[in-house]
Amino acid sequence: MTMSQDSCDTLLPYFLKELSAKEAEAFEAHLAHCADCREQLQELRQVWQALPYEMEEAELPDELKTQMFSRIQEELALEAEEEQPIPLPHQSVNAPQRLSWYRKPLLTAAAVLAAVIGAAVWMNAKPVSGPASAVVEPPASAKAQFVLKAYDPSMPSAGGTAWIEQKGGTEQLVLKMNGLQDVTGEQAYQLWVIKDGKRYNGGTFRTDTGGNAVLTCDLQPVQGTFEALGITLEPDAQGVQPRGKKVLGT
Amino acid sequence: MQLIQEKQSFALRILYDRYVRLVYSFAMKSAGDTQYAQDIVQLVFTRLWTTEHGYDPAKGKFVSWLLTITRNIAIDQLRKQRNQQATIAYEEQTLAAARLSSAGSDDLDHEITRRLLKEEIEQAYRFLSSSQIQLIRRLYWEGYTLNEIAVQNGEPLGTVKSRLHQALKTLRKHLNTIERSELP
Repeated sequence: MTMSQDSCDTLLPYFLKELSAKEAEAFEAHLAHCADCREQLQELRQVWQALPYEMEEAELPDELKTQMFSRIQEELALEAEEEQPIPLPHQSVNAPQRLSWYRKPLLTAAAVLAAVIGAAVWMNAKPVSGPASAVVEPPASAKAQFVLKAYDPSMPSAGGTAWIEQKGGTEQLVLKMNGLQDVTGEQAYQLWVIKDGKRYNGGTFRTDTGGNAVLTCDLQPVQGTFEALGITLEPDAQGVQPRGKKVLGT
Repeated sequence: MQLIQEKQSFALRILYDRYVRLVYSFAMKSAGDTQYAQDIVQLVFTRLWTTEHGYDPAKGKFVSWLLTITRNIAIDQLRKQRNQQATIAYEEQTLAAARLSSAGSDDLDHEITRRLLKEEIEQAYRFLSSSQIQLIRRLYWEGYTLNEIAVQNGEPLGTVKSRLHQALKTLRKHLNTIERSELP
């Protein structure tokens, strides 16, 4: 038995993450020049990903569903409180590692959802006391800012700003708009990110009753850059190409 | 701040409504116990929300990512229950592994696609022997390691490995959908 066969033999334990760090490293070195193992690893991943779909959809009574959700919310609220009293000087070295999870603020949650659900989420910015602008403003760290101008005579007072923020490893585009008309029926506004002459769907949204909206959009699909932005009023939120009129743009 | 909180919980609600049944079903399949399944749901959704390693759309479908996280949390819990020290450091590995293994695929969000995939897997399972099926059950759903299974069965590790290898190869051969949709 050759050395190489020995190494190929650890493919399964490697894939199942049963190797020590050192063994895994050794296997990765082997992987770099064993095309056969690379191919097999790829195949393993494909099959592995199909396995969960064997499950039955379990009964989940509405009551239980609601109960569990409340518990999750309570848990998250507790964690949010816990993270506040940590004094700054201790933050760096002594803080238990576990805390580092909770510290990254929940502020990115909307962005997570944006990334999850077809790259975007609409938010009905609920009317609260005080102007919405008090809440969403470009941070000092914003990389670039854009002015959104009205494009349609039926909505002359439409306007807004957009900026790029770094969130962890990815760049988020944040748009804050105002002066938009209320949508009716299935209608929705849709953001288009234009790059290399192509229009990428940046997500759909609706406005609050005051014609305001805030949208975040993950710029990963366009590698963080674009040439222009356009917002259209669409007949519904299902489109993959613009069908309605352009109401805002850079 | 209050507005942000409201948005947070709104966004959480959407995610939850969309995927809770999937996560719950996975946990039920994994251990068949409703209390356990409820705990897993809570762990998965709080983890989803508090982790700083977000989901990366460039690396694959969200559903695959979510299921990988669910499995890691589920088997981590099962292993803890079994009181084994052999628990791998899932805290760090979970997300990195999840990202790696969630290759792109289409439409897993849709229940119909999932149901078709389920049918296909059930078909493919017919080509497996009962010992192969049991092995996948122990390994994938219950989170036993190859070594543990070899000891339980009183078999050499090599035997278990080659059985798994054959089983996965057979499954792959009969899973056309996954092949079509997962290949880059």
